[in-house]
Amino acid sequence: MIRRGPILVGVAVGLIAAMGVIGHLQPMRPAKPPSGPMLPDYGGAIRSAVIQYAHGSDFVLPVYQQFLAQQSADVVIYLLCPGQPDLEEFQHGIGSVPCKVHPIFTAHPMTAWSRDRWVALLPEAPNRPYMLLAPQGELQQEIWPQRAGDSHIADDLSRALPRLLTSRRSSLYFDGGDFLADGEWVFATPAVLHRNLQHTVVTRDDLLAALADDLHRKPILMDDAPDHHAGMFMMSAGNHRMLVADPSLGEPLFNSADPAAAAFPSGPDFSAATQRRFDSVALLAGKLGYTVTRIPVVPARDEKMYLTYVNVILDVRAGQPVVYMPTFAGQEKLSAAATAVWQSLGYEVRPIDCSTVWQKGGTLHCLVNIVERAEISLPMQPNGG
Amino acid sequence: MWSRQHWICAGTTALATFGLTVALFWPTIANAVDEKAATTVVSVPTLKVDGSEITARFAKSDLITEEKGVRLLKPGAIPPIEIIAYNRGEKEQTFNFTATLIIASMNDRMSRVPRVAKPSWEQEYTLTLQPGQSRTVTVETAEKAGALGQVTLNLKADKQLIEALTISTAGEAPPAAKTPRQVAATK
Repeated sequence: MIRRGPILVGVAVGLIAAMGVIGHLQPMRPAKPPSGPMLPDYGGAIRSAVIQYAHGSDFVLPVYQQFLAQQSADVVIYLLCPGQPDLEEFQHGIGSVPCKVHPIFTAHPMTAWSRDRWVALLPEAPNRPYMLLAPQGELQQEIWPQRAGDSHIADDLSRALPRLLTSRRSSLYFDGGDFLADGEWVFATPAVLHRNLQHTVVTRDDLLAALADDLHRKPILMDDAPDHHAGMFMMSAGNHRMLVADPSLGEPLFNSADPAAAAFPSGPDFSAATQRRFDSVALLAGKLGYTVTRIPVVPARDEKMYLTYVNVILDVRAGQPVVYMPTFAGQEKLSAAATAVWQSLGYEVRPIDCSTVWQKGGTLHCLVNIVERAEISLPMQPNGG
Repeated sequence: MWSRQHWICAGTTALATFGLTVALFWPTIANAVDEKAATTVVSVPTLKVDGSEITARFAKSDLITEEKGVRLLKPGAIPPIEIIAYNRGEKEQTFNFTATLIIASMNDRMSRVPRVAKPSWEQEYTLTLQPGQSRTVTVETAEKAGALGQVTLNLKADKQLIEALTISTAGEAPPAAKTPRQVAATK
């Protein structure tokens, strides 16, 4: 009869050896935390969103003020800013708003463009945190202090809100605005391919696999799309409907006499080559089974400035689909035409004057990044769909 | 003092415990390895054409500084760029590719995106190389790169396009530009 001693010693030795092996292997390949697919733009009511503000970004305050004034008391806006003086500048510019504004201090520089810093992934199970997926790095962060600060935003958020959010850094380079998620798809701009091919991945197929792995949706690379973020030229309207911007609709309505039009350094771009790029997106969406609706846009020839009406935030209020749509002073004909398009799809249009920001390369959708939506199903489908 | 039987018992128990514990945690280890299998860090971006490889690099120059692993270009002249083609195949090969130099500048420090990157120089090449042969083409340009910009050399063959070379230029960030309406408001 063998006593317990050798057995206990054997168990202890075996456990120590196993822990040593596992401990050696695990740090080499940390397991990726589980998460669901990328949060789509089209879905339920907004529950929470993230905006950024830093001194020097006062051009965004009129846009924030209009958007926040329309958010109800049950919506939480997480405001990231470097410190107290930035917060006070924000509060002075915004005034009183009905929604809750929860400030988070970062103690580092940043821009105001929250959309590009991360994409939100749905929780893998109810009551679990949302995952913020940040890119490997920001474009030109080595020379651009605000961009270097932007690269920490996802981590800042997860540290400040650990119950709601967790964060992870992708091995890929991207801007959050390079993606548009809808249904089973995630559309990706040409920049994603160019920034990663032969840098973070060897082949195009590797990139597709990495995107599917990161975003849990089928990636569609839009090779011929305009050289800008996806939300500047397309937006899902739900129920397999896609809005795609169309310069040919914008040209006859564009008011070139408006002083703001002078912001286009070399004028608007209604060239055939540019039109083809927008059309290629419409064609692609059509091939994927979307019903495509075109909406006016005025792109710039020399800059990434668009007078665009798809850079929107979608919401649902009391069962009614709502679109917060950018408008531009002096371009009333364009705005009226765009309003009619959204209304024809069953949306209540709430205009947000973006006259102070569009020259910076983005508008409303680029400034507001949605974190949480109510259940991703609409009580009433727009346009009876 | 343990007998031989004690040692055998302890050893067998240790082996069994080790095996069971590792087997229990193995799926986590294995999945973690698979999850990252799709992405690879590429040390030198390479355009591959029918068994040949084309890469690009800056010629050694004082215009490029390196600090803490970050390479930056001094604003002004762009140093010569060497494009290297190498036939890795087993027979003579002629292939065509296009090199495009793109210079982008920063809009302002609070803008969403840099300015549209414009091709400032483009050249088509046709090279015939013997098996194992390499050839270096040196490109010199009179183009200048502004502060806080980016210089990129794209290589393209057939439908493949890669950013073969990218470097940012050093300098002071310009202040946030006022929009036309802000300017009008202050008048």
